[in-house]
Formats: sequence, structure tokens, C-alpha cells
Amino acid sequence: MNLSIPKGSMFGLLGPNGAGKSTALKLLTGRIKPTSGRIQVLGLDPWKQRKEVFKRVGYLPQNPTQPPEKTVLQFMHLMARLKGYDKRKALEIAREILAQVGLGRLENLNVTKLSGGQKQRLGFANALIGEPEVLILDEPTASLDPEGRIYVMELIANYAKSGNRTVIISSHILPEIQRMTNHIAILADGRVLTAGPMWKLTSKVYDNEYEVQCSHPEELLSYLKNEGFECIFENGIIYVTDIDDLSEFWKTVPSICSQNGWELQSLKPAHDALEQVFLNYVKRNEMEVVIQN
Amino acid sequence: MKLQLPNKKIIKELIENLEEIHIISSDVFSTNIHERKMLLAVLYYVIVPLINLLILSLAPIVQKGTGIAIFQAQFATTELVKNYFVSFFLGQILIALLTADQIAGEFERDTFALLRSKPIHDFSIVIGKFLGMIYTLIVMILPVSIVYYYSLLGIYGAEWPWTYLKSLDEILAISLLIVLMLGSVVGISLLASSIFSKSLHAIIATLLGLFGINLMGDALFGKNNYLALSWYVDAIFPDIFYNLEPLKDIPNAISLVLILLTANVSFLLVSSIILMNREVY
Repeated sequence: MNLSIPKGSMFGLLGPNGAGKSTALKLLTGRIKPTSGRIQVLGLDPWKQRKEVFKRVGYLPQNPTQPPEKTVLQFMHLMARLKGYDKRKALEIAREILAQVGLGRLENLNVTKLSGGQKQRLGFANALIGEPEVLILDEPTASLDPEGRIYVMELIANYAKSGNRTVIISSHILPEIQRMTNHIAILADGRVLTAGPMWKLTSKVYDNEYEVQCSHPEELLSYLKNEGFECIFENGIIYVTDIDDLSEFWKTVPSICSQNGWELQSLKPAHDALEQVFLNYVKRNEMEVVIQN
Repeated sequence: MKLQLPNKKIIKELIENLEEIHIISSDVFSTNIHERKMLLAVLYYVIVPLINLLILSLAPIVQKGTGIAIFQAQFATTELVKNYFVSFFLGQILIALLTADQIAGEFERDTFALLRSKPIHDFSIVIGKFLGMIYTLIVMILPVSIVYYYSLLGIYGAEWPWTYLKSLDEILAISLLIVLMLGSVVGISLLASSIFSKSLHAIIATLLGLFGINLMGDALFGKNNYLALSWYVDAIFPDIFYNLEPLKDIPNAISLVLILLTANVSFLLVSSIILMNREVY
């Protein structure tokens, strides 16, 4: 695996289950020792210089667990103390961050009484202690409900914007990665399939599958079939697949709707650009693996 | 020759490390005193000796006087320390039960990753846990031992003032010995705790280790089991308490302090090295 994460980027690690995302993050945070090769975070070896690394790095593990005997505030206070703050400052910072993540009112609640989403937020709050230069988040929205997801995504985006900070996020939820990050790497079978700025990777995508919604779908469907397009009709949406000449398709659909007085409600790629990039690389990798075997 | 003083960076790091150790040990101590399992320890370390004292005070006293009182107090306190706090079956098992969970439990509950994600050394974790356990045991054992000793002096009619009975250095020597003895058991338990990822496995390994050490001492030395802490209590405490001649062919108190200190440091060092090389999955 050869991967370089630019400073100040919002970097997304994408990959199917078992691709090596969590392992990559564990290596970056010195939780496991590399069997070979070299890893550097801010120019430091995370396995050998853990203490120096974590002075500047915040980490949210997948499914974070907190000591069951502590209240929310006690937990945050201890974590802030371990980050190097004195008692008074640690308390101040703990309260400040809890308010930021929306847990201020729950500071005296035992951590075992928190819901899954609240625990995740508390884990995120812990990662924010010390205003780290690099924030490493392993599946930060995995156990959250939709509202919690939006909330945490906004927190992450705001944090990244608040300074020249690097945020590394692993996830298999593509829309989230697309929304939050500006650089990505796609992993599979422990390898980096591709990496780079989001715009650069998605700009190369040529999507040959489109979905069309129109006020007269059946009429439009028969027209497109007559024109030689391969179409599937499902739930009132026409999916046009294997489009050879995309510019011809773009010309044909609006003009036929206009000529017949049909209202063209939607004309867009069936897959999101990032989804398409992801599927292209993962499928190609699967094929290579099959050929090699 | 120019004397080289440690530079500011080293001093700063040392202060940082002491701070980390202090934070962890304070957390272990405050967590311990709020834990349910510590009720069992309080019952054992505090209530049982006090019941014992009550029984002793209710028994008919044939002879009273300062000399008798000193003898009774030193004898009964030595027995208390030996039987309740450092004997294999009672004292050591309870310490192992309380301590073996300290690091293995963090792995079991998946909270070790939290410590690893903060700027602290692994040896600060080990020493912090060690000191936290020692503070807990001191709070439970030393006040009870002192109350026990001086109550017996009172029960057996020692005349006030008792100042000549115990000078500060003797009290400190006894306290240091008890702490180091407890420390060696805590150290073994932490060693097992840093190897295993389940508390139960760490507890079993500690008990087997302690039992093995006792057994080995029996086999090697017979009656004078130099590897059993209770034997040292018998051999050293009367010396300190009563200024008796040390038993023949046994290390004196200073040697024992050095032996125990070496054992403590070795256990902590090995535990730290093991922990530093442990991966957190």
C-alpha cells in the first residue's frame, strides 16, 4: 500500500468491507505494528513515537467505548487531563467541547445511559480535545440515526474549516464521503486502487447509464426503444443503459419531449459520480483477482 | 571534569511523565473506591481485623502492663499482617483479584484504545495502575494496622505515653515493608494483566504464578521459604518491632527492602515492555 495524504485535506478512505480501511487507520494511529514498510504521520512514526504523534492527532475508533463507571463530564475531564491540560483547564475544555457536540446537558449522566448515537458523539468529542492538527475518524457515522449523521457530518466539516487541519475519514457510505471530503483513496484487498483529489477522479467518469422521468413515460419509453436505446422501466422511471453516444442521447430526449409537449421532469446519470468511480475500480479489481486466480 | 546537567527537554519530559502517572493513579484510586468489588475488599481488609480486635478485647486478660502490651501488640499485628495481608491464601488472592483486571480489563472492555490515543507512555500506564492499586491497599490496610496495634496496647494496659514503643523510623520501616510486599504481589498481577486480554485469564495466571512461587520456595528452602512473604514477616517484623536479633542466615530488613524493591521494579519494567509491544485490535 502506497498512500500519501495531503496536509489540510479532508481525506476519505473508501472501500468495501474487508478492504483494509480500519487496518490502515490502526496503522496510522500506532495501534498495530507494520510488518513491513514505513508509515509517517506528521513526519513521525506512529508505532515508535506514539506519544509525540498523539499530542497532535485526535482519533475516533470504530464503535468507541467509554469506561462504564464514569459520567460524561468525568470521562471528558480525564481525557483532557491525559492530553496534557491542568485540572481547571481540562474541565473548561471538556465542557466547551461537550457543548459543541450537543452533549452539554448530559454532562452528569453515566456513559452507560447514553444511546449509541450519543456515545459516538462523545467519542467524537474526545477526539477533538487539544484541537488536533490531524483528526482520524473510523466510520464516524456508523451507528448514528439520519439526524445524528447530518449533525456529526456538519461538526466534522466545521472543524476542518476552522483551521488548516487534516481530517481522515474511513467509511463505506459513499454520499457521506462525497459530502465531507475533497480527497479520496479507494482501497480493496489491502491495496490502494486509486487516490487523488475528488474532482480529478470524478471528472474522468463517463456514465453510460441514465435515468429519465417524464410526464408520459410509456410513450417516451417506446420512442427510445424504437431509436435503439436499451431501456428498463421501473417505478415510473426509465433507466437507459449502455448508451454509446452520450451527446446524441442528451440531444434526443429533451427534443422529443419538447416536440410532443411532454414535461421532462428529470434527466440524470443513474449513478452518482463517486459511486461510479468506486464501482469501476472495485469491479476492475475483482476481475483482476479472478484472472490472477 | 565538567558536570553535565540534564537539559530542559529531559526535565520537561520527566515532569510530564510524573503528571501522567499521577493522573492515572488518581483515576485508578477514585475508580477503585467507587467500585462494588471493593466492598468485598473493605469487608476483608477493614471489617475482619476490627472484628478480630473486638474478640481480643472481649477475651479475659490475665496479665496487664506496658511490657506485656508491647509484646501482645507486636505479636498480634505481625500475625495480622502475615495472615490477612500477605499470606498466599488470603492476602495475595484478594490483591490478585483486584489488580489483575487493571490492564486486561481495559482490553476486555475495549477501553485501552482510549489510553493509547492520548499522548502518554505505556510505562506511565503501568506505573500509574501500580500506584493506584498501592494507594487503594494502603488506605485499607495501614490505618487498620495502626488502629489495631495501638488498640492492643490500650487493651493490654500499656501506660501512656507510648512514645518509646515506636519511633518514626520504625513505623516507616514497617510501612515500607508492607507496601513493598503488597507491591510485589500487585506487580505480578499487573504483569499477568499486561499479557492477557481477559481479566479471568490474568487472574488465573497470577494465582498460578503466586502458587508456583510459594511451591518453589517450599521445595528449595523447606521450612525457611525465602520466596514466601509470610516468612519474611515472621523473620523481619519482630526485628523491627522489638529490636530482636535477626534470625540466623536470613537477610536483614535492609536486604529485604532491596530484594523487594528489585522485584517491584523488575515486574513493572517487564510489564511496561510487554505493553509497549502489544497491538490493540
